[in-house]
Amino acid sequence: MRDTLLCPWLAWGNLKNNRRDYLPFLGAAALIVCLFFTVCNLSLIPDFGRHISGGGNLQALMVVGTLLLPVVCGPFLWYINSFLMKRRRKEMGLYGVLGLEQRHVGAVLFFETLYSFLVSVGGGLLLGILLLGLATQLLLGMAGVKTDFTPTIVPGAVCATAALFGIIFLGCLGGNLVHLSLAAPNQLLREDHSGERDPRFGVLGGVLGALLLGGGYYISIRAYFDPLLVGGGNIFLAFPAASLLVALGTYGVFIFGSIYLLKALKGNRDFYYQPRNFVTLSGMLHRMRKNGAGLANICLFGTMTLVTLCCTLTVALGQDQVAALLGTSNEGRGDFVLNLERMDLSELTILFGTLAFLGLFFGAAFLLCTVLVMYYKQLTEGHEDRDGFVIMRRVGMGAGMVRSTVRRQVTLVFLLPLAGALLHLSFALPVLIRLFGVLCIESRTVLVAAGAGAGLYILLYLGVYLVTARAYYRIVSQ
Amino acid sequence: MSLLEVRKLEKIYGSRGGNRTAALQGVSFAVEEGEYTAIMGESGSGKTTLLSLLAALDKPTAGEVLLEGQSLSAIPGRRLSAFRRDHLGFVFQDCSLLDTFSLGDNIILPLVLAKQPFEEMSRRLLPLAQLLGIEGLLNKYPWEVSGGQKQRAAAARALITRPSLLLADEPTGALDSRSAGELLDVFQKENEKGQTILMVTHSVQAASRASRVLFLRDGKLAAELRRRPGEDFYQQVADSLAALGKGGRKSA
Repeated sequence: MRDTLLCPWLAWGNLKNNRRDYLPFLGAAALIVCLFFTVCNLSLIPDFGRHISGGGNLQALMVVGTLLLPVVCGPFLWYINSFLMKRRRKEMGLYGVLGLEQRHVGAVLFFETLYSFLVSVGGGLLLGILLLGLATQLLLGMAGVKTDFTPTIVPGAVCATAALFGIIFLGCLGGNLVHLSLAAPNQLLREDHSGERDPRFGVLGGVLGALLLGGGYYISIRAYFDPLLVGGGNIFLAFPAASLLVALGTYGVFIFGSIYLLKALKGNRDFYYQPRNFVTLSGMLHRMRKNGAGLANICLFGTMTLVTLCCTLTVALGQDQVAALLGTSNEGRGDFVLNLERMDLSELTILFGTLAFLGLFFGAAFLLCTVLVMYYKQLTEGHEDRDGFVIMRRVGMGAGMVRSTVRRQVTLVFLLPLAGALLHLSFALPVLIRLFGVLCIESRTVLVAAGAGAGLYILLYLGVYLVTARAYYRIVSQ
Repeated sequence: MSLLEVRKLEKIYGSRGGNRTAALQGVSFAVEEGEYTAIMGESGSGKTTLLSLLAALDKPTAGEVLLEGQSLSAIPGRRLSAFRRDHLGFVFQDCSLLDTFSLGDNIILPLVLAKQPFEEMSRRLLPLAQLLGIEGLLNKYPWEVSGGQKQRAAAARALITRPSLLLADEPTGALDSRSAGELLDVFQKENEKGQTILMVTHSVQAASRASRVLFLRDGKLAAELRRRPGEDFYQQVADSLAALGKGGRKSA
């Protein structure tokens, strides 16, 4: 059959032609695969406990990490995949018009997914295997264990990694196929010009979002002031509960709040009818819901990065402080507080070192997600805005004004989620202080770590901002 | 002094040594203030090239374009967009309205880019919209109105800056004949008030509304017709076009 060869070949050509869009995605997926494999492999090495005292506890913590990482990174890969597919609607419609049947298009997409899977999972595993020794040294060094242990590659970890990401990629493929089978070719070919309508229950949604957000913040503050909550061990419930409320609330506030804000700004004539604001505001209102949801996603990934960074630094800074307290009694501070009287220094170092190591890995994964979500949001919007900029240049928008408009647009996309993430972090601090109180770390250390983490994050964020603004400008000035 | 002077304009595409295509060769003409000129020609005759040179969207290989005595090639690049904004109005075939703006905001876009105060914009907007019969649609978005209404909004956007020259590129190309007639009525009314118009088209219906038609073939000016009172200009334009077409085939 000819098409048994045609589809794999077409799929390869597609990836090659769209490499500018796909490479960041595949690279990030490979890095996430690498991180996952490393943590998974370390948690599964069978003779870890025999070689290293306390290795069992260390591995138990690793298992938690293995389970948590895909919860965040799975939806992230799905989200980026939907960005990529939206850019290719026209191409898919063209296939239909050219006479490729839906099963052929499906086969092309299948091979594209297969190649993406092989490249990112293969590359990620290879990198992970190469760096396994280094990662083990890092972990053992942070956990204060001195041994000449060489890690083995566990086949189970390789299989688990391949299977997990296989499922994620298959899920994306399934979503794409359903999406395509629902649309007729001419529907795919025709660009959708219409703007998004006002949400029907906008005010209600905004108020609900604000209430949820306030609820999350309230739990965090109460956890700080209510010693009973801490003593009863409910502190471990308070953090996830507050996180969930804040996450839901963020969507509500960003989507509905941003629409409300944009409309209010549009109502202010002297502000709206300025060249820079005119273009940016109307563009954001045109895709107000997508815009709000995108900002909320960036804000949440940013918050996760920030909180992880803060926790990692707290653990690293707090280690010596707690070590000095070893052997003293801290009874009466609750059942769940670290028993300093019975703990020795090596146990403490293993616990803290492992936590810091996991924090480092999670921080890297979250940061990667944040960066890519921002990059792809700007990329998609750049392509959507390009025709508009062509028209505006024809009616008299100079290159300088294009630049300043782009800067305004990109700055808003970056500043709003950053402000949101920093606000979330400051309201997370009360509950974090109580949580680290369980590990006997002083609140001052948490605050110092939060400050340092926020500073570091802002610096990284600024770098991404500059790269993204350039990518956006390059697209719209083509 | 003529409003627009085109002197020995030449545009050659392609690199030296490689395949070179002359899109325009030795084209010279002048447009007086208040004139309504149409430029006709088949696809590939150089119409679009000529228009983009007149609009300073592209640079000629040789020759020059003078608008109100000012040579376009002498204007520095950073001043060009402001010059276009202040002196030229454009109507394109694809009407090129921005989907993100309501019709009203689309129309005043050039004024916003020129940083005019809001009062000035609204003062100019309403009479113009009434003239074009779209005053009830100013809060609608482009995807909510018909092609003819969109094109009238595009015409309003071109006219709102009170340009010394209105350039139109196949303005009726995407319209049904009734909408095309309505748009041409607008052009005619504006021209009667003194607006200079230069329109590129291959529609006889559109060209015969002008006071003068230039015919372009293979990058050269091939003929010129002027409207004289009492004559059937539509028939004359159609005949000239047919004669030109035959000549083209003979020489080929």
